[in-house]
Order: sequence, then C-alpha cells, then structure tokens
Amino acid sequence: MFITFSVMIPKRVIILLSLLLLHFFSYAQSILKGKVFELDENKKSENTLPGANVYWLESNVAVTTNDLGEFSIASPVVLPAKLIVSFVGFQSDTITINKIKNVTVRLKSSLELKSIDVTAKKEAVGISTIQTINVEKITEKELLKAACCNLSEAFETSPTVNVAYKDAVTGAKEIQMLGLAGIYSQLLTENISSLRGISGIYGLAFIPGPWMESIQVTKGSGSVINGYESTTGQINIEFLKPQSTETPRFYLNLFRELNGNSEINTHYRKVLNDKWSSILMLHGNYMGREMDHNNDHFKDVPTGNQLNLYNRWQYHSGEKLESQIGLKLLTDSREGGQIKNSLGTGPSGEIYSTDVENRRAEAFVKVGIVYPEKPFKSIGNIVDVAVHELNSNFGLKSFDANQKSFFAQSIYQNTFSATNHQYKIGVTYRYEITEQKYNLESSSLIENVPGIFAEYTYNHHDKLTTIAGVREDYHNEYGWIFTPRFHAKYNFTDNLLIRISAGRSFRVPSIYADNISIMASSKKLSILEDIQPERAWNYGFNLTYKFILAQREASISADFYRTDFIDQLIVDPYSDSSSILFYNLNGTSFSNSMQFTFNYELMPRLDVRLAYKLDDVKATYQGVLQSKPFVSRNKALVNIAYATSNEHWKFDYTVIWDGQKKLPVTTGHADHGAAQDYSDDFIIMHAQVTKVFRKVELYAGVENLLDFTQHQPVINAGNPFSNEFDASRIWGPIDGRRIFAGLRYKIR
Amino acid sequence: MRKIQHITMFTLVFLFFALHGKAQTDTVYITTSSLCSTCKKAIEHNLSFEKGVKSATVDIDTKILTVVYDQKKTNSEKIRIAVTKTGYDADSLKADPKAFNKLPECCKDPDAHH
Repeated sequence: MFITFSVMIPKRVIILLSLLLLHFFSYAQSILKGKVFELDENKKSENTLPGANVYWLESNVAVTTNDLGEFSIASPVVLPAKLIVSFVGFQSDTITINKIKNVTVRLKSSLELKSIDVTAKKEAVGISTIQTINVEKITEKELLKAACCNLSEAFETSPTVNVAYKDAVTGAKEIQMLGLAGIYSQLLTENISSLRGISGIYGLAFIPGPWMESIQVTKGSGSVINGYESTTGQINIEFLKPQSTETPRFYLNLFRELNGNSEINTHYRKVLNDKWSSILMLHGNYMGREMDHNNDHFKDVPTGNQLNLYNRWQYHSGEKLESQIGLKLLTDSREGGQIKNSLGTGPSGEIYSTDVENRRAEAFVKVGIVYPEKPFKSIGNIVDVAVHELNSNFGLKSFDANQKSFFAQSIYQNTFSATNHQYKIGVTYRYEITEQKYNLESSSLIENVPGIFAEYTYNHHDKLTTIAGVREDYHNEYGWIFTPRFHAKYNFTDNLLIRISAGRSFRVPSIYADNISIMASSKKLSILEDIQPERAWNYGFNLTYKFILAQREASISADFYRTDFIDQLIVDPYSDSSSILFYNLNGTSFSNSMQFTFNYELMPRLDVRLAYKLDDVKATYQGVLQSKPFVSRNKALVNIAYATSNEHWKFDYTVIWDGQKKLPVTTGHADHGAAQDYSDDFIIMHAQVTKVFRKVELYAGVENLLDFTQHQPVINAGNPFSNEFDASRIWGPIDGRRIFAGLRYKIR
Repeated sequence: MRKIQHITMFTLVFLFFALHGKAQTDTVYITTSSLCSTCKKAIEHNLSFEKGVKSATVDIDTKILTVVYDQKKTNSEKIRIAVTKTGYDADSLKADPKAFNKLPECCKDPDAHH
C-alpha cells in the first residue's frame, strides 16, 4: 500500500499530546483530511473512490468519502492511532497515523469472496467495536500461542470456544460453543461449509495450524449467506493467501513432542506473473510410540499418521475478473485401544483396538466480478466438490461411511441509492449423498437443497447498524425451511456499544456421525422413534466497553446468549445404564450462556486476559429436565502474554479452570472408575517460550503443566469386551503433561 | 495450594522480564527505500538483530526509519550500513545489490508495488 502526504501540522500534535493525560475518553476536534483512490497498477489514471468507509480502529468515529473521494475525520487524542479505510470490493487498508497531516490512500481491488472481516491487527484476539455481528478474530499472533498442531488447539486461549476430548481412544476432540456440542456451530473454510456430517466428525484435526492465516469466531446467529445450519455460532478459517506478500515464500516448521508425536509443515509460494500466483502447503504427522501413563493397558494417545496437502491458485486480471482455484487431499489413520502386549480378551483372543481412517479430496473454484466504476457492486461465485470416506471400528463395532458433496453459490451485492443501504442477494445449491453402515445395518441419505437468500444492511449515521437477512431453502426430505436472522449494533458512545442478534436454525442430525464416541463403549444404541430434523432459536446480546486505564488500552466485554430448541435429537445417557437412547425432544431444551472478558495491557507489551463463563444447558430426558452431560457449568481463563521490546523473546502462559460436569449413568462397577455422577473440577496450565532469530524461530513449551489427568478414564479397562466397558465417559485430559519443541524457518 | 504457587511463580517471571532496565541511548532518523508493509517488517526485523539497537520503526508513509540505539555499542553509520545490507537505501547510501535482488517483488519496483 502506498501513502503520501503533503501538509504537516506539527504544533497541533504537541498540543494534542499535552492533552493526552487529561482526556482519556474524549476526542479533540482535530481534523484529519485525506483522499482515497483506487490503486491502479498501470498508473494511467487516478480513480477516486466516493463512498469509502474511513474509521479509527480504536473508536467508532467513522465517515465516508465524498464524491471526490475526500474525507475529513475527527482525530483521536491519543496518537499514533490506526485508521482503517475500507470499501466493498477492495482490500481494506490500515494506516498508522502519527501526525495530523493530509493522507492519500490507495485501495487495492479485492475479490476475496468473504463477507466478514476485521482489519484489527494489534490485539491477538480482536474484539471489534466496528462490526455489527459479534465476531472475535483470532489472528496469527494468537495462533502461535498454541504451537501445536491443528484447529482444535487454536482455541486454547479463547474463552468463547471450549475444546474437549470425545473419548479415550480416538484422540478426537470436540468444540463447544455456548455450552452446546460442536455440531451446533458451523465450521467454515473461507466461507464454505465443507467439513460437515461425516467429514465433520474429525474435522478439527484436518486443519493444520500453520496453514491458517486467521480464524473468525461469530457468537450467536450467523449470516444467512452461509446457510441454515449455524445455531450457536460460526467458525470461519482463512488460509494463507498466495497473492499476499505477508505469506512467506518458503516456510518450514518442525515439531516434536516428548511423547513421540512429530509433525512437519512446509509451504512454498510463487508469484508466476502479474496475474497468477500459487501456494503449495504440506502437512505430515506421525505418532509411533504407545504411551500408557496410567497403566490401564490403553494407549493415552492413539498411534497413527496424517498426510495433508493443499494447493491453491489465485488469478487477478487487473480489471473485472478475479478467481481462485483450490485442491485439498487428505489421508489420516489413527489406531487406539489396548497396547500390543495386553492380554487379549476378545471372542477370538484379540485385544481391544480402534481403527479410524479418513480419506478426503476437495476442489473449489471461486470466480468474482467487480465493477471498477461501481466499487460497491460485485458478483461472487463458488463451486465446491468434496468426497470423504471414513472407515472405523471400535472393538467389535464397525462404522463405515462415505459422503459426496456438491455445493454452488452465487452472491450479488450492491447498494441502494446511498452506500448506507447495502444488500446482498444470492442462490445456493447443495447436493450430498451420504452412505453409512453401522455393523451390518446400511442406510443412505440424499440431500438435494436449493435455496435463496437476501440480506440488507442499513447504517444510520454510524450510530446504529442493522442487518436483516432471510433465506428459504427447499429440502427434498423435509420441505421448505425458512431462516430469518437479525443483527443490530448501537453505539452509546464511541467506546461503549451493544450488539443484539436473533436467528433461527435448522439441522438434519446424524445418529452415528454426531455421536461416534459412544461406540467406544459397551452401550447399545437404541433408536426409539423416527428421528426428525432439529430446529432452534438463538438470541442474545453483547456489551463491549473500551477504555484507557492508566494510559493503557483495556476492554470489557459481557454477553448473554440463549438457545431454545423447538425440535432436537435427544441423546439420552441417563435413562438406561446399558444403552444410549435416541428420541425426539418432548419438552424443553435450552442453553443459557453468559461470559465476561477483560483484556488489559498491564505493562508495555504485557497483555492480560481474564474471562469467566457460565453455561446452563438442560434438556428434557424422558420427561425430566436435566443438565446435559460433559458440560461444565463454570469455566474461567487467565492468559498472560509478554514480548520483549525487540520481539526477540515471547512468553505465553494460560490457566484454565474447568468446573464440574454431569456424567452419564453406567453399568460399570464403582471400583473401575464409575463411582462419580459428577466429574471433578480441574485446572490446566499451558506455557510457551519463543526465541526469534534473524531467519529462524525456536519455541518450546508445555501443555497441561500440572500433569492433571482424569483418574481411570476407561471404565473396566481390564475387560473391554464385557458389558461394563466404557471409554466414552471422558471429562478431562487423558495424556498428562505434554512437553514440546519446534522450529520455524521462513524466507519472505 | 501448589496450584496457587505455580500461578504466582509464573506471574513473577513475567514481571521480571517486563521491568528490564534501560541503557544510555540516542536516536537516528534514516530515510529508506521502503515501499510497503513487507519492507517495513523486513527492515525492523533485521535491524533488531544489530548490536546495540534498542528499537527500529519504519513509517511507511514517510519511509523514515527511527532507530533508538546504545551509543556505547554502535553508531549511526553502522546502522545505515545494516539497512543497505538488508537491501534498502539508507539516506545517500545505496542498497547492497545482492540483498536487493533477494527482496520480494513489491519491495523492488517503486512503480508496481501495492
């Protein structure tokens, strides 16, 4: 990005600085003026950009450029401050303003087909005061705090998303948002919902950490553009971009854990000419050692390996057309269960083992058209094709499935008369064939779902912003699905704001895919009736207050979200000790989730985050309203991050307190770890140090520093083929303290 | 109780690093040939490894690099040479051609950057 200046007013800056101590919360009427142009590669002409948004990152003072592309904006007292210039169809630019002087900004046209983005870069987890929807952005800085390994670890320092083990054998992890299982939040990769159903079961492990550029976590109802599914929120992953000079040209990451787990990540980026650029990313991991700390003859971590490849291409015509093409390939194999030299107790003298194999291929094409003369107008098209195959067995049980999906979407966006009335309309089409076989029982499902949507955004003097969206889909099995969603943001002051949201969601549950961890137990699956799709309402609000405390930035955020299920598949682990019952909800099922977060830069470069969360999640089980299993009512998190002034050393430390959780009933004997109705509460700590050299970064750390593990995670581990065996009653860590080290090598 | 001890210990380690002392410093302003945020990062990163350099900040707007350094350990001329070895001009000193050739495309051509 290119910025020039013409006039300097240094005296005013001195006056401003002297006012700094007196006016933490007020804004002086010092005016910053500037002009916004479209960046023209050929430099033949200079097109101004009328209607571009110009605002300060840390406040809600915002203006739009006039017909000549000019703007004037009240400057904050505290300088330097970050000014953001954004415009639909262009890449946003963030400029650090050190002095009040005229600025010229050139925006580069963009056809990233994304509708949600925050430009905040300073904080690792940006709680935006700009966006209408409650979006938390996890940047690369935050991602590096969790040095290992994939998406499931990326939320370690985030209070919004909780991660828990699914069972004691597969190593699979599950996320929870608003106290509800991961199936109720939508996982998107660059706004494509591709990891769902069969591929969603172990989906978190298929996204390697170093591939991610950032993650946007939307709490509560999401945008209608992404479909009818998200109930509690959306998690969108942005991968590294081939065109961005921020992406290293070559990257190598080696990682090793003391327990034997090894990983390698490498990418290679190349700009082929002024139109085409490409990146190839590779990930491999291998775990060969059988670890058994608690001597129950069950592996604490499954052995296995993964190979994961992603090649993407970006095309930029320099005029109207932009395009992206991507290809992903994956193979993953995990073996869990008893270690090799255990006593075989199976029907033919075999040991208890689990085997989970995933194979996946995905390809997508995105084509976008922009109108250089009307920058607010654009068309975006996506086509995504994926094939996923899962083969698994858990002792004597087996589950095989495959899923073939086709997805297409077209979005048209424009404004009504003025730029404060924006709209998006579009069509989507999803065709998906899922075939599954549980033991000897086969079933298949074809989903053929065309849909239309419209979203309208109204901005009233940057005080009030509302987004109203509706979509109507037609499902071949379940008929019309109507999905309304509404978001609003109101600024009381520049730094105090409220967001509200409400929305409906629809989801077709999958008994086996959604509950695969139950297979790691002797319990039978009893389906009592014909299972109906799930419908829910989610509504909530968020209050955010940003302020300066002792000259440093601080923010407080409080929110409350409620989810009410109209229809739900109830997975009942309470009514029968020898089986899990599946039936449709008859009564109420809800989740109330409350969260408080406090972020503060306690000393220069020493950031502190404190968070507390309360989840009250209940459902009606055979007429009785009870808490859902494996959900802790109370959780708290402390994260401290420090970097030296030259950024050569970085330290990160996290403490998580996880409260008691209600547990399923079991036939297991009390002596074998089945005594408790509720889990213990526990504390987990993570610490990490990074040393930055000129070309290389070295890091080392420890997860679960206190070596806390769940006592007897596998019930009746000595007799896994008996009716008392259960490896799915997992509420805490199994694998104890994990020490790791790694290196990153980058060529920019 | 052990848990609380651990928390206290780690907090103290962080405070120790945060309260590092300061040396006798001087500041130099150098006009560079930096063009974009990638150039800014490259200069700041490389300069931070030069002996005696306390902080290095590039303003993309003005191309001015501000370096705070320890007078006893280095001088402004050494700092300018360090900038040229990274591949950028430093005031009247021209960039080292070898280093310049290795720069990303956007840092090379003043007419084609973005």
